[in-house]
Formats: sequence, structure tokens, C-alpha cells
Amino acid sequence: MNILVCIKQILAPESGWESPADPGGSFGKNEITAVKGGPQTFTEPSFADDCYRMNPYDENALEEALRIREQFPEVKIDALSVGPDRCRRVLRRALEMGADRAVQLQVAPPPSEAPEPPHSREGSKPAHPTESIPDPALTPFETAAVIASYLRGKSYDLILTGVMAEDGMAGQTGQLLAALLGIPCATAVITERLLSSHGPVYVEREEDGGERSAYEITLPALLTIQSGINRPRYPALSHVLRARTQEITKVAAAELLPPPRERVVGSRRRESSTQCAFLTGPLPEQARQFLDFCRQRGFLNT
Amino acid sequence: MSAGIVVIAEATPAGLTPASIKTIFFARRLADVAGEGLMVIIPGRFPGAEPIAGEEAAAAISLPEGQRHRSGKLDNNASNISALLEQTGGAETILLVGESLDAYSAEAWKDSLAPLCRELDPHFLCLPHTSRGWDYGPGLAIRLEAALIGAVEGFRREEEDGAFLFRRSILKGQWQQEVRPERRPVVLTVLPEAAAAAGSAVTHSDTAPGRAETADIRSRHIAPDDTKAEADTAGDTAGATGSDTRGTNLSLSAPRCVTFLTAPARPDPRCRPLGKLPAGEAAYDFSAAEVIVAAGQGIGVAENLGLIQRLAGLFPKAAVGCSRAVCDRGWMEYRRQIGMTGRTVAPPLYIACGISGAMPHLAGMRDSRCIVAVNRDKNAAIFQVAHLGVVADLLAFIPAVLEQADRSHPGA
Repeated sequence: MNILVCIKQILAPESGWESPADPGGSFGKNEITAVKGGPQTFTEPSFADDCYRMNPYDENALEEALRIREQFPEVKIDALSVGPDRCRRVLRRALEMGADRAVQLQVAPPPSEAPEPPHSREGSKPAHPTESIPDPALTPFETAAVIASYLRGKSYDLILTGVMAEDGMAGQTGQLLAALLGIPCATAVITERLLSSHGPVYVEREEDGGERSAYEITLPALLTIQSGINRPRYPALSHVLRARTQEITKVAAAELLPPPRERVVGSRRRESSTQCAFLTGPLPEQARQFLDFCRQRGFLNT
Repeated sequence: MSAGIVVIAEATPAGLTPASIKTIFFARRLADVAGEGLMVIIPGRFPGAEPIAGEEAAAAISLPEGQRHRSGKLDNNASNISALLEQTGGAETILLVGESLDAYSAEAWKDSLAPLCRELDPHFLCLPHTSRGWDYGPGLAIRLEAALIGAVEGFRREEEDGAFLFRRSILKGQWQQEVRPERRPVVLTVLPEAAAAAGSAVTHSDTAPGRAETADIRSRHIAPDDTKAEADTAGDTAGATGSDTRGTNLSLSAPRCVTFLTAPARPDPRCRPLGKLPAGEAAYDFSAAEVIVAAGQGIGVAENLGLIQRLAGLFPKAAVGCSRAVCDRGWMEYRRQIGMTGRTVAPPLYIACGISGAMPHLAGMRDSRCIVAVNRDKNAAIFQVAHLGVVADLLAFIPAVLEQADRSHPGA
């Protein structure tokens, strides 16, 4: 039985976008630098490689695959990521956690060529040229289409991925991939149980309001894994050492890209709230104002 | 039959879901701006709406051979359907009825909706961004070879070429991106915010969600002397403007804008729905709480929950809840989770402590009457919905509040 886990490398929240030092333009602890060799009109923040991490939901997906292999030792787990070379770090991490093989579908041009920022691919400028963030270069559809093309002729019984990526928050890639492959799919899976290594798989998916519905799905199938289903393991030292010698297959995938069906034309930081009144002054003063606010509205006695 | 804008609404025995009503509101605005017609499809199984045997059921929609959509009629006693129709605000409505649509499964919904949507050939297909819409929407988009934009919060029109641009949040709601569809149809999954952004009539009020919008939709589309109501039952596209919308008794003998279609009966054998599960741990009952103090990832470690509890302890009728991140770390039980996959609450006062305010959490608390947010990061998305903001470290702010409270009640 073969399991594929699709993993996205994301910019870690603690790496700057959450707390920029200067909201006027700089991008947190990291400098904004012009894309080297690219069009100088477009700037994109450049982050050190260690600012990126594995999407936490994908960690849950990988952990779930590892648990299936503990139950059915004949299982082979492949980890896959679509991205530029820096995404090999998360594939290395996947090997350290216990994946058997890793594949990078390389979509960024090799460094010798002038890299083009994602927005200019279609020759249009961002709608809000104020600031630009490291948008995921690919839309969920493009990512799914690249993976689907790569998978042609290969056979996986189960494909797992996170319910969404923490950065793009779309939560679509899994469903799109399943539809492109023509296999059934369950999203937001919070419980999963393979009845045998040939399936079917029993899943519970989480719905609005925390309700759950159960399904029995034949293999091959794709599941998007919800957080909380498990606690991803820390790699064992022996696995870390083994992973150093394991190869990460690189597949040039740029030509697998389909024409875009939708395109991100611009991104901007949200303007600060207009309805929110911020307390000012020293902390004890703010605390007093907060209590007054609650008293005036009758939530606190006197 | 065609409509530029099609909404796929979700119905419960109590009527359309609030998210569906808001999606209809958004779609109405989109239809106005695009100058196109609006149609609502409601998939489900409706008691009182049974297929009529024989040839009496005239085909309302001409579907290619081999597709098992058929038209039928409504039972006049189907009172819950009358309520549904009122909620669609007089838009032309298709009830897509089928046993396979009873227990939700993405495969069954896609199987039923794809041929119908292909036939209707809409410009935009609007789904509520719920655990369902977001589940089957992407697959439906693939079947229709459509563009797909998820978690839409608003739209605008490009000045140069009139293209529609849709806004959505990324990076925990701190950033927004604009997405442009490159082809049609376009599948949109729509957040409730989009309804608020689409019209000033929807305000952040304490009225029951949905009410105001419904009323507004109706008032905007009443055609006072429209006597077309007696026209043919199914398939009369001209009847898109409602007339009898004053009361709740929309006449079902003349549901001029209702078409009734049976979905394909064949369920996808690869995905068998086993039904809803009984709730494992009983959900925490927040309904009695006047004040909800909610903890987020920003509390740092589980031990700091004590501070949250002490803050809640200041209020006579308070409860403690949390974001999903807190549950996932095992710091609190899932039964206290507030958000899209947890409880939805709307207390008089909601105090968000160390919660970033990503969309799934906002979905569970944004209708609270008054929201106070405490967060170290002044760019946190939670401040977008807060009325009072404190940019501070919780571990400093809450002790300061406790100390001030002590001071005003010495010995208490």
C-alpha cells in the first residue's frame, strides 16, 4: 500500500509577517530586498531559509500516515512538495519524521535564470502596489494540477494532506487534486481508520459547529487532515541521521503548469480597524479604563 | 433557462442556514452590479415535495439525454418550503430534491449539481463558505472547469476592463489578497462578511442574523403590481421579481419562480455516508453567560489559563472559552472551543485574550454585541471586529486589571 503526503512549505508566522517592526513598509525582522536579477520595480521580502517551516496541518497529515504504517508495516510513505529549492527543507523534515521517500516538484526556475515574481507572470502589476508579501507563487489549482500531472501513471492508495495551509488559508488543494484524479475525497478529517490495507477507510469529518459526520470511502481516496487529529512526533535521532543520506528526488515541473484559472493580482496589509477604540496610556491606566468600560455597560457590579 | 448568478443554498428543517441567506444577499449585490439575473438552487430532501409520476411533470429545464433531472410539483402543504422560498427573497428558485442529497456527501452533491450548473451556465456560482461549500466547491469547480475563489469577503470591479476582483484574507487575516478569475464560470465560496461588505443594510447589530438581510432583500425586489404571479408554475424565468412577499404565506399554488428537480438517484458507491454522529462530549453551554472570556494561543503556556479564569471571575455571569489552537494543544477541552468548528456564540460581551482572529474563529463570535480584544500585536485581525482594543501582553495586562479591580473593592 502506498501513501502520498502532500506538504507545503510556509513562511512561519513568527518570521515577521505577524509583527512587523515598521508597518510602513519593512517586513519585520527581515529586510525587503529587490528580487535579485528580477525586475527592479517589484520588490519582494526575502526571508532566510530557516524562516520557512512545514505547514502544521500537513504535519498532522504526515503523522497520520506514519500511524497507518505502524499498523500496516507494508505501507510505503512518499512525501511530496511543490516549490522552489528551499522547500527541500520540509521534505528533509518529512524524511526525519519517517517518510520513506521524498519528491520535490520544482516549479521555480533554476537560480541561473532571472526569477520572475509570481505577479508578473501574466504581465500585470499588483492592484495594490503598496507592499507585497511572499505570495505563494501558485494558486491551489495550479498546485493541484502540477501534482495531478506528476501522478499520472503512478498509483497511490491514499493521499493525505493538511486541511489548509496556514499562510494561504484556502483549503482547496486537496479537493482539487482529488477531483482532477477522479477519486473520492473527505475534508477536515478528524478521525481516520483503515479497515484493511486495501480499504475501505472509515473517516469522521468535522462540520460547522463541531458536529461530525462519518463516511466509509473506498480506496484510492484523498483525505484532508484537520488539526487536533494527532500530535505530530519529533523526529527520532536515528531517523534524523538516516535522513541525511536519503535522496530527495527533484522533478522539473514548470512545464506541468496549466494556464491559470484565477490569479492573485495584489496583496496588502489590512488597514487598521476603524471601529476599534484602542486604549492608551500606562498599563494600570488602561486596566482602569477597561474596568470602567465594563462597569458602564453593566457587566461589573458598581 | 439561464441565470448569470447562481447561489447554491443549504437548507435545514428550520429553513435556509444564516450563511446561505448572507450568500444570497451577496449574490444579489453581485447580480445588480453585473446586471445579471439571480437564481437559487436548494439541494436537499424536502418533505412535501415529491416527484410526480408520469408525464404530468413537464420538463422545466431541458437537460441533455441521460441526465436524470426531472421536474415535479410541490405539495401545497409543504410549509417549510414556503418558508424557504421566502428566504430566497423572491429569486427564481430550484429545489433540487433527492434521496442522495439527504445525508450530505460531497460526491452526491457534485454529481447532482454539476450537470445542472453546466446547463444553467452561470457567470458566477456562489456557495456559502461553510464546511460543506468549502468541501464540495473545489471539486465542483473542476467538473465545470471553472475558476475558483474561496473565503470571499468582498468584491470590486476593475475600472479599466470591468473585471470582477474578489477579496480574501491570508496570513491569519492580517493580509488581504485580490483574486481575478481568468475564465467563467467562477465558483465563489462566500463568507458572511461579504454580505456586510455588499450592502450597508447589514450592520454589526444584535438583531438575529439573517432577519435584516431578508427584509432588505425583499423590500428591494417588491414589484407592487406584478400580477404575473398566477403564471405558469415551473420554468417561468420572468417571475424572478417577487410580488407577494409581505407575509409568510407565500402562495404555493403559484410558485411562479420555483422549479422542482429530482437529483440523480445513483449514489456514488465509493463514498457512503454513515450519518451524523452523536456529540461525544456535550458541548459547553455558553448561553447563560453574559461575558465570555476566550483564550487564544497568545496565552503561551497552559499554566496561564489561570489568569484567564481569574479575569472571568471578576464578572458575575462569565464563562471561559477558547480558540481551536488552544484545544489542539490540549490546554482546554474541545467542548469549549469557539469558532467555525466549535460553538457559535453571541454574548453581550466577548473578551478575546491572545486570539489572532483568523477567519474560523471570527465565524464563531463576530456577532457578539460587544467585543474587547487584548493582543500584543496591534495588527492582529481580531481588532477588525473589536470595539475596544488593548495592545498589551496578557501576562501584564490581566494582572493589572485584577489589581485595579482589587483596589476598587478592597477586601472583596
